[in-house]
This record gives sequence, structure tokens and C-alpha cells, in this order.
Amino acid sequence: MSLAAPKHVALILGASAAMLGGCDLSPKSTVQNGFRGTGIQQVIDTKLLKVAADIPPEPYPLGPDEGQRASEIYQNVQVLGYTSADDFNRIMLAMNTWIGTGEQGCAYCHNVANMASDEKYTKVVARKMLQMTRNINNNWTSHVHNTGVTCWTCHRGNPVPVYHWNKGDPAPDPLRLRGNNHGQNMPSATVAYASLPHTPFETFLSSDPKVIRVAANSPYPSADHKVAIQSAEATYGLMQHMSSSLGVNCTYCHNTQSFRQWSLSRPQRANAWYGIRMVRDTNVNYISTLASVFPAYRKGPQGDPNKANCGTCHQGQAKPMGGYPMLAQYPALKGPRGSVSLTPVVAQPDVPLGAASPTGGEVASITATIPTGVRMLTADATATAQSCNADFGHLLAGQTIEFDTGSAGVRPQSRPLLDKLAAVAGRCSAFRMEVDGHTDAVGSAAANLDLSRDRARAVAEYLVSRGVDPRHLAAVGFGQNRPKDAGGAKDNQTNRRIEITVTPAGAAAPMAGTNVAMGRGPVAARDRVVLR
Amino acid sequence: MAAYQNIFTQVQLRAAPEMGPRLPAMDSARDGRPWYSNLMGALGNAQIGPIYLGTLGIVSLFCGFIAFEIIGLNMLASVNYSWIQFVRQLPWLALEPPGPQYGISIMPPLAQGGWWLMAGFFLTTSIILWWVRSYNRARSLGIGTHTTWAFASAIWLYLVLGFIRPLLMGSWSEAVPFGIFPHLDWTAAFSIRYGNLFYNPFHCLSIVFLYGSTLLFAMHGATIMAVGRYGGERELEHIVDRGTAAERAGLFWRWTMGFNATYESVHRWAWWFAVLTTLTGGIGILLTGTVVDNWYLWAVSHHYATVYPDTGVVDPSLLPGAPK
Repeated sequence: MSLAAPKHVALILGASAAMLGGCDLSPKSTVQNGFRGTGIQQVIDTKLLKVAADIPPEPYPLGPDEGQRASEIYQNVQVLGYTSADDFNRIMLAMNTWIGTGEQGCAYCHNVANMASDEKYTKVVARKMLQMTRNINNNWTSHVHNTGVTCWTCHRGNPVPVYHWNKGDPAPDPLRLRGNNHGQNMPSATVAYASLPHTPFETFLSSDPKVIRVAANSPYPSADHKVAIQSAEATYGLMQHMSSSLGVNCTYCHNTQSFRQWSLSRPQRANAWYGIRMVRDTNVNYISTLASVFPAYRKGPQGDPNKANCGTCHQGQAKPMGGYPMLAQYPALKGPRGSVSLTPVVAQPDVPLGAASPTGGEVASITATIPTGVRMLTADATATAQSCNADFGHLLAGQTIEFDTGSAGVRPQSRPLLDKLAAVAGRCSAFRMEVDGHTDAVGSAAANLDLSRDRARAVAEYLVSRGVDPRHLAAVGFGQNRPKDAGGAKDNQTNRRIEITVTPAGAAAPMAGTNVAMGRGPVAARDRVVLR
Repeated sequence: MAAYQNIFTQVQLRAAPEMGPRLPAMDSARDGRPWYSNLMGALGNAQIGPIYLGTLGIVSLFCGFIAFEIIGLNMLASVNYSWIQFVRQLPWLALEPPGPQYGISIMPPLAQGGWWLMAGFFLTTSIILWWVRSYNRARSLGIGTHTTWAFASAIWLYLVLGFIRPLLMGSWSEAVPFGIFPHLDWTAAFSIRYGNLFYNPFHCLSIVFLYGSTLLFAMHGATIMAVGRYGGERELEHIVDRGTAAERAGLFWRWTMGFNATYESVHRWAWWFAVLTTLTGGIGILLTGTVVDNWYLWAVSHHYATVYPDTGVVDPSLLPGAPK
């Protein structure tokens, strides 16, 4: 018995290791996204966090919208004719990188002896894709907001976007048993290896979509609501695809108390609702119309072009490319520059529908430097944007930084709090940190804007005096524009506050939504209001 | 003493095999020559056999075998009769019930659920015959039929899931597929379709009894092993003639929680908890879709669901100008 013991131990250890094989041991961080107790939280594999550094540099900076139009200089420019010739060439150059034309360069699509010719199929496809991009950027802001899309969003340097789908083999004779799994019950990546129906794209993202909603809107059975469990399985299959494509779990959108109930869901669910329709529009009205243009080797076994699903753009991230607003660098992909307004400050996708979009603030310049004798605090490699936001949130929850009345002088009793904030800011200095100042609604709006900006700067400069690298700090005053509690009295104490929020390094500033799970500042602030 | 402080039984009997009492004239003979297994003895009784099969047992096993073959061969057919793929994909493979278009027709095409109906028929026959057999065996031994009725409770849940509820819903498609992952995915989809089974009160009860069963089993098993050094495992004798093991076991629980089950009553508790798990579970399934279509909304209307703050999100399809 005793001799056999090591063998038993080895067996037990081996079996345990085998069972843990499915576990992912990389570090995780968790963000609470909903009311306490609902389990609405996002588990993020910090190793998988992608930063904006992946995004290819612009060929050259965007110049003024001047000079002759592309349509006046070049022939057969059907989509981007409204751009300046300079802008047009800039986009064409960028497309080389975006779709990975490699050594062929322009010749991938063009006959270089006659650039206007449509003889290569790739040019016809590219034209349709530019129209598609413009359609998405103009007509589907409900999903892409002002962040928009470019060719890079899907292509990422590949002639064919890596994540796409085609119609599968034709369904076998339904009366046959051999080789007939009835479209389910096999390990398929499209449904995250569940045994669910594995053709959710044909079912929901093509021209003849099935009904996706399965739960009843009445507690009791009715003749109007006859939905089979099989329909729920099909919907569930598409949800598996969304979950794995976005790198999120069910609670990114839903309160699992009731998957159906919109008033319990996060705003991301409405976003996804538009996304489903956007992908349908893209597949039906753009990609599928190219069926006769593509050569056979660019099509699926059923002769259908490679179509889009959620993964085509998202590629494992809740916001493609971490929400980087690349379209702002190439505004012509939305329309003529005079007619589109695309500031890098994007709309807040996390704000519920119907809520007013936050108004802008005033940026302060930080001139302070770390005093001699004070060591510059170094960033903690394990800190994430989420953990930093949480740390700042905890410190500032229920505590206020006291200022002298009507001025930006910090009162001495607030120094201990500021020192704690400096310690967190030091840990988080791999990220861009923004100190936001807010006031109540007493007094003139302009004076409040100035005061909040000065107070934000005072806090930022205090942090610098304690060793926080000023290059990672920004200070913005919002005055009375972003009240935390809009309903209260004018001198509402709650609204006089300082917030510090974090965006990952490399992200264009100021910009929303760079962290994977949730938008920046205003969202964190809103969550703090909700999460009592 | 140390014999009861090991996960395996340390004492094994070796003697002339115990053949059991003489059977009534109408019963067939027991089959097989008994033998001893050291390995089985470490877990339970070392004596293997004889086994009583009888007509019911044989027919039951035969029907079970047919059901098993129908399910397995359908799975094998779905992977083009490839044994390698059969083994690799086994957890995913299934025999699905007929689709909703067939209602409760008893003759859907074989590949469209006909085989599922046949497998279900033979499996149900097998289970019910085995149930009758367990009743007969208990009676011919002169013992109570508690096992049989506990088994009946499990059969009740099985029949509700695969037969009674589909009949009431008018569609075999409401039934569970045969298959490892498929029946689990079915369970999740079932809950989503019917608005979250969490709010089904009978589902709650079933979970209470299920978890309660494990707790009772852990408490009872631990207590008996703990008093094993005083012969506490001879429970039946202690029921009649309370010994020091029973005294100490009872005292332990009175000291820790002020109350104790007796050597007899703890088994009554355990039996009822186990039986009520599937009994209440079956009621919960039976009411789903037949009486309640969305358990969450039902819980809301009965002020039983937790109310969380409205997130302000509205159904986009209700907004003016919404895309289809």
C-alpha cells in the first residue's frame, strides 16, 4: 500500500492538472459594470489587452482641404471624388498598408499603365468596400458612433479580413441519417465549441433573418407566442459568437436576471442590436452584390463571398482596436470634409439612449516639474486602466479635496488624500491620467469653467510635486457642464468634485473608450453614482 | 479502531458466499456463482453475485440495450460512421427529438426524430420494467418498498421532461435530446426560452432538497464514521438498542446545534430530501410553458423578483425609424 502511494499521488496530480487544462492562468482584472449584486462585471485577461500601438501610422499628416478635387484630376473616381487630390492620394497610400498589398502596391488593384481602368476585380471590390465604409460611417452611427470604421478596422493588413464567414456545405437530405447532424451537435468555433446550432450567421446575419427574440413578454402562455426551444438554441449560438468575438461575457450587455428585459440591460445591448442590423446591411447590400465580381478562389464552397460577422471588426475586443477613433485621421471615408464633423472626442457609447451627450471642457496646461530631490514615481507593471480607475474611484468616493473658497488653493487638510492619490498616480503612470474638475451651478458658467480648470491644474501640479510624471497628466475643467446629480439644487455639494480617470498609453487624447470594458471618465462617474 | 479512519474498507470477509433466503416458487432462480473481489471489497462488499435477473430484468436490460444502440448508432451515423470521429466528438453528438413541425405525431420520419421516439419508448419501457422489478425484489425479500418509491420520484422527473410535458405542450420538440453537451445546452436554452428558471418556485425547492441531500449525506456519513470506533456503523442495532456510539453521535449534534436526528430519523430525512428533489423538480418543469411562459415576469407580477434600478435602456426596435 505504502509503495503504491506515490503512484496514486502522481495519478491524482495528473488528473487534477488535466482538469485544470481548460483554465487560463493569466492575470485577470474585474470591472463592475452594473448594480451591485447583479454580477454585471467584466473579467479582463490583462495579457490580451491590446493598445492603440497596433494602428499603422498615417502616410503623412492630414493637410488642409484645399486644391483641386480628385475627380477633377483623376478619371473614374466614383466614390472619393469629393476629396482633395492630396487627401485622395493619402488614402490610397494608406490602403496599401491597410489591406496588405505587399510588393504589388498600387498594382494590386490598378493597372498602373491606366489607373482609371476597372479591369482588375480588386479595384471593383475596393470601390464597393469604400461605399460600404461610407455607408457604415454615415448610416450606422447607432453602432459605430463617431469612432467610425476604416478599411483597417476589418483588414488589419490582410487582403481578406481574417474573421469572415461563408455558407457551409448544403444541408444534407433531411431524411438521411449518414453525415447529418442537423446543423448542430459538433464542435464548432462559430458557437464557441458549444453543441448549439453552428450556422448562426446564415440564420441571423443574412437576407432572411430568423426571429432572434425567444422569451415571452407575458408571464403566461399565449397563442401569440409559440417559440420552440430550438429557436432559443439558435439565438444562444449567435450570442456565443458575439461573446467570443468581443472577448466579453453575457453580462457585458445583459442582466442575467432577465436576458429579455431591456430596462435591466446595459446600453451596450442596444449598440449590439444596431450592430446586428449593420452587419446584415453590409452582407446583403454590399458584400453579397460582389458575388459575380470575386474569382472563385475568393469565395466559399457555395460560391458566396466572404461575409462579415461581429468578429470581422471586433477581433476579440469589445471595441475594435480598443475604440481608437482612426476615422478622425481619414475623414473622407465618411464624406466631404466640410460636411462631416469628426472630432477625436467621440460620442459616449456608454451613455444610455436619450441622455444628453456631455459638453466639452477646458484643458489646462501643466507647467510644473518634479522638484529636485523628489524621486519620480515608477509605474507598476501589473496596474491596468481598470484597476487604476477603481483605485482612484475608491479614494475619491465620499471624500472631497477642499479648496479655499472661490480659488484654486488646496486646503492643508486635504494633503493626506492628495498624497494617497499621488501614490496611485505613480503606480498608474504607464497610463494617461486626466484630472477633471467640476463645479456646482452657482455663479457664471464661464467663471465656473475657469475655476474648475484651475482646480484640476492645482491637483495635477500637486501630484507632480510628489513625483508623478507630468507627461502622463492632463487637467481639464468642465465647470458646471457635467453635474453628477443634475436634479439637485444649484449649490449641490455632490457636483463640486475632482475626478481622476485613466486611459491606456498610446491612445489619442482626449478620447473615450480606450479601455476594453468601458468608456472613460463620464462612464466611471456615472457608475459611481449608480453603484451605491 | 484505525479500520474506520481510512477511505477504503480495511476488513473483508471471506467465507461461504451468502446466498440469501429461499425464493417463492413463482420466482426464477438466482444466476451466477458468487465470487470475491478484493478491489470491490475495498469499496463495499467483497462478495459479487449471485444476481437475480428474472423475466422483468432480462426484458428491461434488453429494452435498455435497444435504446442505447439506437442512440449510439444515430450518433455514429451523424459522423459518417467514422469511429474516430465518434470518439472525438462523442460529447457533442446527439439524438434530437422531432422538430416543432411534427407536433406530437407518433410517426415522424426516422431521421427527423422518429429514432428519438423509438429510443425514448424503449428507454422508458426499460426503466419502468426495472422499477417493477425493484418492487418485486423488495417484496420477495420481505423489506419495505422505499427504494422503489424513491426511484419512482426520479422516473417522474424523467417522464415529465421527455413525455408528459411535451404531450401537454403538443410537441415532441419540447423534449430533451439524448447527448452529453446537447442536453446541457438544451437546459440552458430552456431556461432562456422560459424567462429564467431561477424564478420558478419549484425549481427553488428542488435545489433546496438537492443541496439539502448533499448536506445531510455529509453530516450523516461523517457522524457514522466518527463513531465507528464504538461500533457506530451498526446503525440498525443502535436504532433498537442505543449504544455508546449513538449516544455520542447524538450528543455531538446537540452540543453543536442543540438538536439531533436519531439513528432512525436521519434516514427518513435523507429519503425525503432525495425524493423531494426530483418530485418538486418535475412539478417545476411541468408548469413551465404550460402554465407559465416567462418565469421572470411571473416573479415580477408576484413581487418576488428583486427590483434593480432601471438602466434607462429602451428596446431600439420600439424607437421611431428603427431599422428592421
